[in-house]
Amino acid sequence: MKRRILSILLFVLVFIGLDRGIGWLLNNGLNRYFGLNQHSEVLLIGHSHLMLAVDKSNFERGIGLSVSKYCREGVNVADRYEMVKQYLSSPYSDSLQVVLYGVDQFMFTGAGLSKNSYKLFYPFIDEENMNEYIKESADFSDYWVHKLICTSRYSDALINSAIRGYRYDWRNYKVGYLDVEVLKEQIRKGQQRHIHFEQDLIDYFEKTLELITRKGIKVILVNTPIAAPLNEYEPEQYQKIISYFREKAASSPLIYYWDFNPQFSTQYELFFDPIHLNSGGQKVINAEITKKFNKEIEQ
Amino acid sequence: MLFNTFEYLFFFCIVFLLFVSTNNKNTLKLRNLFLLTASYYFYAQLHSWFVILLIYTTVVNYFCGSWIARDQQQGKSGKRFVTTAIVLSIAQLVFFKYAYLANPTILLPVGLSFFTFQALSYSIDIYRKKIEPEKNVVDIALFIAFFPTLLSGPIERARNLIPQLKEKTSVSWDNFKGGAGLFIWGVFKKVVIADRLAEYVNAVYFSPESHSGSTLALAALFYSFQIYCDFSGYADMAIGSGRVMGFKIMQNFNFPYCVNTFKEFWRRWHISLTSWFTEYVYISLGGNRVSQARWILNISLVFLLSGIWHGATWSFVLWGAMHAVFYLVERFWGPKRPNILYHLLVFVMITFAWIFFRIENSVEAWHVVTRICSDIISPVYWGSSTFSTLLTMLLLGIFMLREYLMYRNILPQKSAWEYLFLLLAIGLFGVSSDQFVYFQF
Repeated sequence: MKRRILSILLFVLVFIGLDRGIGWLLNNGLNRYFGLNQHSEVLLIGHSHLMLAVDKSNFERGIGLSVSKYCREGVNVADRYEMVKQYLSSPYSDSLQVVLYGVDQFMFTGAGLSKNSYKLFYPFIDEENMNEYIKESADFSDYWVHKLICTSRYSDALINSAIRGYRYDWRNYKVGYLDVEVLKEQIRKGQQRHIHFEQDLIDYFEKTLELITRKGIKVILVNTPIAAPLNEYEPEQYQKIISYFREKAASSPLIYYWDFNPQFSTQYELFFDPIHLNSGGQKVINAEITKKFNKEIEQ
Repeated sequence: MLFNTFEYLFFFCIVFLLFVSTNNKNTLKLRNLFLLTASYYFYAQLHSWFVILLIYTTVVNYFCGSWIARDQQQGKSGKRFVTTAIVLSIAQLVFFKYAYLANPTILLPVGLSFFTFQALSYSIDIYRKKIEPEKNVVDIALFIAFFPTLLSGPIERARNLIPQLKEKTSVSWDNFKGGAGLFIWGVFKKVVIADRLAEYVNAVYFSPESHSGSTLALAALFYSFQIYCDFSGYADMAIGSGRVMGFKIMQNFNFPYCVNTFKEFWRRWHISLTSWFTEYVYISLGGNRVSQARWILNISLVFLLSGIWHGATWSFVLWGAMHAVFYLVERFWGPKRPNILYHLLVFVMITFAWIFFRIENSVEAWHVVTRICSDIISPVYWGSSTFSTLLTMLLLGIFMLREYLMYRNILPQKSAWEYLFLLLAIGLFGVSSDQFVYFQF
């Protein structure tokens, strides 16, 4: 009996050891991929909109600074607040000078965003901030399963990102072109998201700006292009949100607002879908951001 | 509460501890009463009123079983009561299946087909004088509601399970190890293979008309393994749960895709249902001791009933009919010594039949088949993530290799390292789903 209990204990211990080992390897790869374990001067924060607009390697070469690209698909404003907090509370944030924060007109629209986006941060559950965030959002069993079993924290996409982190492969691009007629038809049928101003999301955004600027770090609110029909179907709401971003930029010398829509939103060949750029679009916008960065941001 | 959740693990640990403490010769009645309560609780987690159906089935078969035996003691056949048991049990099944078809918002009680057939085996076996009627209503209720087999089988026989309920079971290290190992293997099959394959299959079958022939072929291939891993994974978890407590539950799958013939496939696929139909329908119709024409009719009827058992739709009937044709064609014109090419043909035909099983609209299913045949050389859709799809294919390859090695008895001893690998794979590659394919039947 004693031998059997010992063998069960040994089995559990070996499992824990292997689980932690694999978890560490994946976490390390993921940190490399997002640049969370490097002393960067520039931090990119956003969702797939910004992710597909900027090529990290080219941008780094263009501005001559080290960049952490922490963009995750499907993250809302609350998630992005946690992402900023995560980097700023790490020992690597001492060199940070500029945060490029992706914005768009749907930022304060809660509908259509995943309520489970906290799950994206399971790999970082051992970090204090993220632990608190996940604990608040997840249910009891979900939280403890992921807290105790490291391997359960990774989706295929995260495993892929971790592997790419080890391979120094930062490329994110999509190949294909937007069908504008289909988009217009969808808008005619009312199948597009609407522009809302949900106060809790606005609060998170303002908390994020406050958190960054309090440390003397510059924030550039980058509005990378969205296909024109999407910008035009609710003109009043659209203008209201653009004015809001401009006001934010005017309120502090540390906040900038860069809008690439007027120049590029009708160049449909740059788009993969209404809100995402294709690889050609990425080249163009990446070059524009680099140019503007070098021109306007004093080091 | 699904087997592949931590809620079940927690539930099972408590049940196991209380089970062990009451698993003595003097406290067997208490043990069975406790197991029955746990089983009803387990079922009530899905929907509390489902338990009423279990009680109804138990009452019908308990009393009919007693009355059949009483009739037989009085020199009568007991036919009227076995017929009553069959009619009342099947009526419940038919009512819910058709009510669900007429109005899909009606909840279809999970596992209804399984526990109805399990209960019927009790009444029919008494009628056939294979078993004595059970005096203790708790034992028959537990036989019908036994939680490991309740939702998706295996469809146990009264003569196998009831005697075990009357004895102290052997809760041993070997049973614990074997049962836990089987459970882990079942979870691996479900969450690492079946649920991953389901992501691709669901995406393609959501709009089959917009996919190429090669994509539809890949989805069909994936579905063959999805349904196998989903269903056999559940069976492994059920058998494993039972084995940990010392119960021997009948096998439900025995490497069905590793065989060369349709006949052999049906000996190894959903064994508990196939053997149920063989024992209670095919034999009742005369089996093979009839004329050739009648035998063909008997076989066809059994396959059609097997299809209808899954659901009262034409696609299931068609699926049953296809297998009847495969079986009969092989019987009369099949090769005497099937080779690898015939093996491949058998697998391909089974895969084609699964298309009709998966896509409930037969016309659409037929379009998928024709598209596969006419457009097989075409670009493949790699899913929403190529990495994910390739990873799924790699894991499927590992699974197939392990199955083959086990089938060939090259991998008879399972080591602790293998279980470690399986557990880590479950953690790392498992995807969560709140459904088993066979729950709908």
